[in-house]
Amino acid sequence: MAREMIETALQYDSQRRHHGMLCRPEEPILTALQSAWQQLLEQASALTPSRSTIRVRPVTLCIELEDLLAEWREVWNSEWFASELDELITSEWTLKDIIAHVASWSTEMRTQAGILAKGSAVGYQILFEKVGGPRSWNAEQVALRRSQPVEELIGEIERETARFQDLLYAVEQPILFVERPIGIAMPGTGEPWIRSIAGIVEMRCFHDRMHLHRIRQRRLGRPIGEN
Amino acid sequence: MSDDPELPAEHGIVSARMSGALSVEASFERLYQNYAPVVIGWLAVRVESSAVENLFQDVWTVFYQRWRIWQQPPELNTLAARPVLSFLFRTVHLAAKAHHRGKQAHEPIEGLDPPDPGSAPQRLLDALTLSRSLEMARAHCCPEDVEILTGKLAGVPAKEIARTLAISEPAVDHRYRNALAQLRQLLQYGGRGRIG
Repeated sequence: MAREMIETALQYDSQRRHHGMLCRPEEPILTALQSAWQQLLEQASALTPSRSTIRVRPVTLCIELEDLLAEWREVWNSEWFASELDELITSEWTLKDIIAHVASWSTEMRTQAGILAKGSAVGYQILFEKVGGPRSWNAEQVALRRSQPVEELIGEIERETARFQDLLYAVEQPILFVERPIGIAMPGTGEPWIRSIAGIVEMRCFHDRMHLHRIRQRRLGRPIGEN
Repeated sequence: MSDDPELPAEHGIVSARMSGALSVEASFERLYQNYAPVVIGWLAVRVESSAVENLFQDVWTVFYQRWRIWQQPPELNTLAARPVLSFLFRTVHLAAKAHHRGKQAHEPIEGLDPPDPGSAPQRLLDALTLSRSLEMARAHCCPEDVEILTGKLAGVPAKEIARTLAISEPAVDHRYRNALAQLRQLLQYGGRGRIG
């Protein structure tokens, strides 16, 4: 490279540096942000309540359901999911059957919560066996959905979860915590389970996470339990 | 809890909780002491100040419920993973989203459950002020970019930011660098107007 060209380039850089165009790109702003963040944390430390106040509100229930959906979306959007849909995850159900099962309970729990929200009694009972839970209801509901494409089943879970979240905001807050008989009962006595709407959210999260855990175990090639 | 000063506090607390050396309650309190200011900081830049206090308690309520049944996957049992910080980041993201959903549903969240005056200073967050660069980020960057910036500032792994925002890890890094470049330009030109 000719000396003249080098000098021209150096002069150009010098002018750009003089006008602040050649400062190292991230340092000043990063330092400013780090300092601002530190100041904010110091202020927040001084204002933080000494203890947290644990209380459930519509927004906390909504967060739980949204977190659940986010976890499902991670599964649905994985390449593994599409390739394993027809593989048996339990001795009876394929991965797609499990999604159908979760969809059926998404609809059922939202429906029962809606009935409780109106102050009505659930006019039917799903029998919950000591071993295996609601086996016949589960089998019937999965069979009903077997011909549906998985996209429809995913759509059902998304839609019903959103409807459940809407319900949480639509009812008066105290109603969320009123415990009433729901449409799940022990066989023999027919004694119904007692739950609140908030309790149904908790049931839904527990149930979905149990299946999410099993699906992840399967994905990692680890042994899983049966239903 | 480990005495090794090099270990991040979270790692020691989680390990102690999982081994039974610390109870659920005691470990929760320690994590609260460690991370409460960070949660306040994240909320302060994402939602209106009047909503911060209630959402702050919501985030800790959700975390407390999860902490009681916390399961630490072996792959997260590393110094760099910081699963609790990541969980709190994700929960703040969901809390802000749920808050906006609640507002859209015309259900006033504030007032339904006013803060307990015995447990928190009145108008906790009214006293907070954001320095210029953070104020600029809030004013000129899109909400997701603000989340990326403040997540990075707090030390949340890029992988977990990506997971929370449902974007790829390279997208997080790209948007982080872009946001810094935008803010740098704004600082140079006096903070006027939105940079495209």
